[in-house]
Amino acid sequence: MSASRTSTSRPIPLWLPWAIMAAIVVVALAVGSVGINEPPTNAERVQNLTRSIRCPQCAGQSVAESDVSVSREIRRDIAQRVEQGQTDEEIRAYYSSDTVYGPDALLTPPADGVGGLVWVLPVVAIALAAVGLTLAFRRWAASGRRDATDEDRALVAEALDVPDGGTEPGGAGRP
Amino acid sequence: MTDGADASGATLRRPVRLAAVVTGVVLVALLGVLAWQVAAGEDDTVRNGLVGRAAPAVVGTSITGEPVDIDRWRGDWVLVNFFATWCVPCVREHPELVAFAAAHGPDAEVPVEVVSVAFDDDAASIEEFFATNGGDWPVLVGDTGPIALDYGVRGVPESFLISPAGQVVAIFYGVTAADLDAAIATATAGAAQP
Repeated sequence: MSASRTSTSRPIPLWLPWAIMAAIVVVALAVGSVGINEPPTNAERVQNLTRSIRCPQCAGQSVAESDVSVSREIRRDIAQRVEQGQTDEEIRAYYSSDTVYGPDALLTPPADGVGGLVWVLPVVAIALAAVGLTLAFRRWAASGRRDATDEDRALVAEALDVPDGGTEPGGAGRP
Repeated sequence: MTDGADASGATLRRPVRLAAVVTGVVLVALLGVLAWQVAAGEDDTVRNGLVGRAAPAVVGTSITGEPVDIDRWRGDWVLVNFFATWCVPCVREHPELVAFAAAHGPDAEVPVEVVSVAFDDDAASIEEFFATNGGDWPVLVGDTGPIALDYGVRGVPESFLISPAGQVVAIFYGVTAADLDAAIATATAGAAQP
């Protein structure tokens, strides 16, 4: 019985989960890259822009979500500007200019200045965590594999209730 | 076994402590950024970068069909008032505008041109509103949204006092005649100082 169980439940190779994870990451990056390279339609640009601009009269809502008059006007204005050929950067620059609604008009934090920390800090944290884990794994690997002592064997034997120094069922004991 | 466990624990503790410190620093930094943005947002409630700058253009057609361009009143004070007939604070401030316009007509010591810009409203409602509540200054109608956005209007009512030199000197979120007179007096006194 134990022999048949051993033959049917083969251990999963250690590399298999890593290979699956790597494949998922590669596929996700590939799909993401293809998606980014496709130019958005004007309707998609309007949708994205209205989601990225704060409603001037509301708390924490984008103009896409808000139905107050000024948000409706901004949605209409953005659609007109897109049709006129203005770039996303030009449109965001207009709304975030000091004479219109100021830098806080943008729901997406700026990539420079103090607001840029919102983008930089998570990347730095992930990089530091990766370095820390790598160092820790290397240290653990370098510390070597410790063989079981006689004391450990005695504890295991006692737990399994077999004679001291006995072998595992169905196989030879480890050296 | 105990020594081994201690050694293993010591090996484990160092990266764990490092990770905890890094996580703490990152969290504190993120909280700092958040607090800074909240503080900036609080200041922003009365923000308008237009004060002290050239007034954006107000060009369009009045409700009576006449062309309006505030540049033609350069050399005089101008009050640009964004309003809507459905807006209760606009209805409340209207008598103040009527009184102010009457006190600063063409023959007054300090003449002021009042121009209203209808925001998200229709001509029929505006005609009825002025017939009922008084006021005979130009009222821009039609596609006035871009003008309101150029002035950074967040809601109505908002009024912009423009100096004879064409600069925005004050912004009001609901006006009184007394506040407008005080703003003109302050700006005039400031301009008279060497």
